[in-house]
Amino acid sequence: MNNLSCYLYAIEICTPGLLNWQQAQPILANSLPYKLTSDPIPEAKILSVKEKRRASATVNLSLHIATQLQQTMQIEANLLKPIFASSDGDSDIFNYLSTELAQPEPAISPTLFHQSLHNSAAGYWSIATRSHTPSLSISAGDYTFSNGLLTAMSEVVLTQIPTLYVAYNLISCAPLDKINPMLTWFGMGLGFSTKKMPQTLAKITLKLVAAKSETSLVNTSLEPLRKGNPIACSLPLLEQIAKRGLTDIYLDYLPPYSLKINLEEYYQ
Amino acid sequence: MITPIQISHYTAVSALGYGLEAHRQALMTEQGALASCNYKNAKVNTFIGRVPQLEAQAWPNLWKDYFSRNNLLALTALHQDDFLTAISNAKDRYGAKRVGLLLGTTTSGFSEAERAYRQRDKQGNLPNDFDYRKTAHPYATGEFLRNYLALQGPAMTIATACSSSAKAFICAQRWLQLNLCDAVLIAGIDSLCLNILYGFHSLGILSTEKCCPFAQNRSGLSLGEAAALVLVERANTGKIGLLGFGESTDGYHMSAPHPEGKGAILAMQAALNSAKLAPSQIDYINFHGTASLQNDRIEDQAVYQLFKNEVPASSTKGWMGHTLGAAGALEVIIACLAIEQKMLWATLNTIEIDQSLRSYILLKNTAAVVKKALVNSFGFGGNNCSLIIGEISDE
Repeated sequence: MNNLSCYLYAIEICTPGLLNWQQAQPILANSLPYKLTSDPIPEAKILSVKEKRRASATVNLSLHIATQLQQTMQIEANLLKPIFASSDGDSDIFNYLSTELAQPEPAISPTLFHQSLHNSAAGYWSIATRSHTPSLSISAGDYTFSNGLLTAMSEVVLTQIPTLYVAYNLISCAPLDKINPMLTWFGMGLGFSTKKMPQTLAKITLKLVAAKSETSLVNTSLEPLRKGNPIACSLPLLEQIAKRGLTDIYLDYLPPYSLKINLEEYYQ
Repeated sequence: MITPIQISHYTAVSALGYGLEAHRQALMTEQGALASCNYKNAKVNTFIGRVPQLEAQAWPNLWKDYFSRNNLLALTALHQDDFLTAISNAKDRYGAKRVGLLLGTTTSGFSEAERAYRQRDKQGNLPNDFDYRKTAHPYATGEFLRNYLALQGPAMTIATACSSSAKAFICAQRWLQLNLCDAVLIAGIDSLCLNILYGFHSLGILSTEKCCPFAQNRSGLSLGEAAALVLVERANTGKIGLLGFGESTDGYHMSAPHPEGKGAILAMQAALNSAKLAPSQIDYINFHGTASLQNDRIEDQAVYQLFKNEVPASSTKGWMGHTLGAAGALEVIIACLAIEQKMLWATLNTIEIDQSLRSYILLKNTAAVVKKALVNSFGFGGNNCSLIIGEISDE
């Protein structure tokens, strides 16, 4: 494949102890010790009062990140193309449905049924922003983050539509937690465009290459977190950006490939 | 204008049977396969399109961790119409690293989670033989297909509800255009499970009879299951392929369409633009047409706005039901069969068309040359996808 290049406009993270990019940046840039906290998932402010009342954890987490990115990008929300990536989708609702369906006479909540869909975040985002811009929702197990990044950068390069990339995963609750264990919930996001604007953060280039070992974290206190959620494999990339680093980053893609990511220039 | 992609090989398993010949036969003779719901443990008064004898199909012991109804459907489809040979030829031609995989699904192997939760022990633990990642996880069937076929190209699941495998065509076109791969296996696979039967029942949109799209007396949808496999490559002139696509979101409601069908119109118009076609150049429209009261009315309105009552259109959901994430790829195959058989398909089960509808809705199979067909797939969360299938020309 050829190189995929575009501009990075915005970056966001939301996980216990690193609730936003401002808070995370010094910890990532200066390798300060990371401590896992018990922060709850923030509420997505963009939702209407009615939707807020019934929003699921995945909708809150993903739309909170999308809203933060959109504000940093300073582009109208309905002009942005959102790409949502999650390995498991809404595991709370998966657990609810599986438990209810094990009953002899199951009675399912219609709201929770439609929220169980992998694209519920995309649906709520388009409703909240009154957007007609198409969206995509994907999963690829442990390779969800790298596939989502490849998809988001492909979309922005081919369509020239500024793109929001939001990747997130909840933890599994009992009894699924024993067979699908995770340390904590994790969400992150990147905003891309093909145009360079005053708010542009950096130029980013991506290529699918033969497998190489993954770039490790300088801040080793983040290592349990990196291994503790399928989306947290994005941390070496976030650390690199926080440090304004220029060396190539390798993230695992499906074997026999790796994603090679390069940040060539920083404008801020 | 987009670079078209060629549809090189395809097959399907649905309630109509195994492989293309079963589908041709059922379509040509107007024999549908919806039957009163007899899915195990489902006490839901509705009709379903269940794959006949699926449970009797052999499952290789080597792959026992991956056993699920969804993966069984996938495997069964691989053995139809020399599909394994087509994959093997693509691997020989391009190398396994250059063959990608895009799975469109909504259910994945949810029925395995249902079984496992029923078999929890007294402490509430799930049984040891339940492998969540290989059966019920959203990517489970993608991982199974990639490993079983020893593909090494890019792979992922697209899960955008009922447009999932339609959107996979758009993604495949992008992968080929970016030279990420040389061939892509598009798999639309969704299987019956209690979750969708009780879930759609809770939404109050299941028909208690065979679904009859666009009928005066339509009362909701019939659910079905299917595996639709399509191998796509870069285009050669004269072959059938994807000529255009359009997508949009409604930005309106999670489970109801935009009242003026704005999202649907945007998707169809974008598809026409991307193929550089005028509405009059479309010979046949395969509606999303689920037979839900509201969705059919809105889709008719949207189609009428662009095509007036000049382009014949039908919903084929009456044959095998709404196969959710598989419907997009399955209806692309049905459009390919319309081109091959020179036949426009009926809107099966519908006797009297809703008098308020204005587009050109076909009730009977009608012989006609089809050069270009438009396929609509609209999903929950208000996401719309329209594809144009036809002969690839030099222009």
